[in-house]
Amino acid sequence: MPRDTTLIPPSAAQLKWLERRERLVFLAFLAPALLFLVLMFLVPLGMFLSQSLFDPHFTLENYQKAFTRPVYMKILWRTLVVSGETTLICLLIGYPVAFVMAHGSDRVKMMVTALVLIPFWTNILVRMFAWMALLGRNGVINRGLMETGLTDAPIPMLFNQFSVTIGMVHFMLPYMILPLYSVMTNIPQSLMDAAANLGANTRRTFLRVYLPLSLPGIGAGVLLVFILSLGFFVTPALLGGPQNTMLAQIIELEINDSVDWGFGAALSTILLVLTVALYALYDRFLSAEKIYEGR
Amino acid sequence: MQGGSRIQISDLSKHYGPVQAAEAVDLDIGQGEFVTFLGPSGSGKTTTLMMVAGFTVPTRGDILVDGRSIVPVPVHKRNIGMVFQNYALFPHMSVADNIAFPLQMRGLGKSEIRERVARALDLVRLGQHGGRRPKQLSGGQQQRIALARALVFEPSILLLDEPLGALDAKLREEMKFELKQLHHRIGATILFVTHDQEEALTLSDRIAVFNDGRIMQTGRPDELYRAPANRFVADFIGETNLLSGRVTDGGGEVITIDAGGQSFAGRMRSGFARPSSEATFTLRLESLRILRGEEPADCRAEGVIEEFLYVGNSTKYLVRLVSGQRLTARVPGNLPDETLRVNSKVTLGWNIDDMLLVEAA
Ligand SMILES: Nc1ncnc2c1ncn2[C@@H]1O[C@H](COP(=O)(O)OP(=O)(O)O)[C@@H](O)[C@H]1O
Ligand SMILES: [Mg+2]
Repeated sequence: MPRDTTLIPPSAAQLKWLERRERLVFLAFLAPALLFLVLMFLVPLGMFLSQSLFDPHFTLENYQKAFTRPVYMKILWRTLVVSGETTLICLLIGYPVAFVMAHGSDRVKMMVTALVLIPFWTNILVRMFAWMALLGRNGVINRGLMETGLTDAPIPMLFNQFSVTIGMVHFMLPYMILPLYSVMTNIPQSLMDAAANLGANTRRTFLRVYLPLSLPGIGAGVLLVFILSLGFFVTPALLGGPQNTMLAQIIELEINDSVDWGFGAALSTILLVLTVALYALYDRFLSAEKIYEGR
Repeated sequence: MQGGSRIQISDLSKHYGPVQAAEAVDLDIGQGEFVTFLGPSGSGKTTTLMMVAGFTVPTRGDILVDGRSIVPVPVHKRNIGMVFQNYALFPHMSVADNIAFPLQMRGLGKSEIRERVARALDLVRLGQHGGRRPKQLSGGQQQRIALARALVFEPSILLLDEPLGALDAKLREEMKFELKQLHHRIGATILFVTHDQEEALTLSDRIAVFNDGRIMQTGRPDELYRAPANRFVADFIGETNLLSGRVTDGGGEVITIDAGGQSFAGRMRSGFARPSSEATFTLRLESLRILRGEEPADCRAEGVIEEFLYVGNSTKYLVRLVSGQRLTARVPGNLPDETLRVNSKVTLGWNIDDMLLVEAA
C-alpha cells in the first residue's frame, strides 16, 4: 500500500532538494546555449586573442607596435571620433523621432514606426549601394544639381568622411531610436501633468522631468550605437576613401592581406577592451536602476 | 493657514465625439468647502475635475474661481493643488525634492524652500523620510508625500482624484481621518473624487452625485441619504429596497402600488409629478423592523427568512413575503437574535413616512 506522504511534514533536506531542483531545471534549459557559446565562441575567441600575446612565447611586441606607430593611433582616434559623431547625430535626430513614436496618436505612431523599421529590415549592402548611386560623381544628387544649374561641376560627396558619416547614421538610427522608444513609452503621462500642475512650463517639465527619466534610453542608445560604430566595417569600406579607414578595416587588412594574426589579434583586443569599458561606464551611471533608485 | 477659494461651475460640458463625458454640470462651491464628486466609474467625475485642473478644455461652459474665469489660464499658472490617482511622484527625485519642486518653479529662495519642505513633511508626519526615493516608501506614505507636495505651495484649491483607491482598508480608514483634520487645519476648498459612497458620506460637506456625465443631485450627506431626489441616488447611496410597480391608487395623499404581488403605500412627494401608471418607492434597510407580537406599525407584511448575513454591528435579513416579493431588513446590534434562522416566520413593519417616492410615471 502506498504511504500517504502528505501526512508527514517534509524534512529540511527534502525542502532543500526541491529548491535545488528548480535551479537545476533552469540550468538545463540554458545548457545548449551555454555549450554553443563556450565551444563555438569563447574558446576560439580566447585562442585568437591569445595570439596577440604569444608568438609562440610571451611577447608584448604587438601591443608595442599598436601603441607606438602613429598610423595606428591615428586610426584608433579617427574611429573614436567618427563613432562619436555618428552617435551624436543619431541622438539628435533619433530623440524627437522616438518621442513622436512613444507619444503620438496611433496613426502617427504606426507610420513613424514603419519608416524606422523598413530600412532596418533592408540588407546593408543594398542600402550602401543605394547611397553610392545617390552620392556618386554621376549620382542622382550631382546630376540634379548640375541639370538645374545650381553647380557646374560635381560636388565630391562619395568616398569621403561625409558619405561615411551619412551611411553610418542611416544604418545606426534604428539602434538609437528603439531603446529610446522603449524607455519613453514607459514614462507615464501623469508625471508630465503633475509637473505642469505644480507650476512647470513645457521647457522646465522637459528639463526637470522628461529628460532625466529618458536618460536610461539615451544611455542605452548611445552605448549601442557607439559600440556598433567602433567595430563597423561595411560602411567605411564601401563609402569611404583610404583617408577614412577605420579600425575594423585595419584588422581585416592585417589578417587577410598581411597575414599578421598576432597584430590583428592585438588590435581586436584593444577594441574589445574599449567596448567592455564603455559598457561598465553605462552600467555605473545611466542604467534604469540608477535613475530610479538613486545611488 | 491659507483659506479657500469659491468655485463656480456653470453649464460645464465635455464631449468626445458622441460621448458626453460631462454634460451641463452646475455647481457653486463655497470658500473652504469639502465637496465630493460621487458616481460610478465612467460617470464624468474625473473629466469634470480635469477641466478644473486645466488638463481638459471644456466643450462648453465656464469655471470661475473667486469670480474670475480660469478656463483660459494654462495649467502651470492655475495654482491649484492636486493629488493624482496614482500619486504621480517623480521617481528620479528624492521625497524632499518632490516637495521642493513646486516651490522651485515659483522661484523661492533656497533657505525658504528648505524650511517649507520640512514643515510640509511634518504636516504629513513623514519628517525623517525626506532623503528617500518615492519607490522606497509604502503606498500610504507615498500618498501622504503627494498630499504634502500638493499643499506646500499653499493653493487655495485642492483636487483629489480617488486618492484612497490604492490603499488597503485599514489605511484607508486612517487616511479619512487625516484628510478631514487636514481640511480643518488648512481651510482650502477641496474637490474630492470617489466612487465609494462611504468615503463620500464621511468626508464631505456636500456631495454631487454623478451619473452619465450629469449631476443627479447635490446636497449634504444626510440630505442625500435621507431624501434622495431620484431613483439613481436612492439606489447608489446606502443600501435600500427599491419597490417598483403599477399604481393601484394614485389619486389621493397616499399612493398605492402593486410590486411583485405585494401592495405598498407611500405618501405623495412634492417636486414629483402625480404618478398615473408606474411608481418607485425606496425603503431603507434600517427602516424595516422585525415585529414582536402585536407591536404597532403603520404597515406590516408577513414572510419567512430566506437568508441572513451577520456584519458585525448589525445583521441583514433577506425576507420573502407571502406574495413572493423580497425585502431586506437590517437589525442593529452585535449579538444576532438566535430565534431568527433560515425559514423562521417573521412579520416586518415600517412607518409610511419611511416609504419615499423616487420615481413617478
Ligand atoms: N480622452 C477621452 N476620449 C474619449 N472618451 C473619454 C476620454 N476621457 C473620458 N472619456 C469618456 O468619458 C466618460 C467619463 O469618463 P471619466 O470622467 O473618466 O469618468 P469617471 O472619472 O467618473 O470614472 C467615460 O465614458 C469615458 O470613457
Ligand atoms: Mg475617474
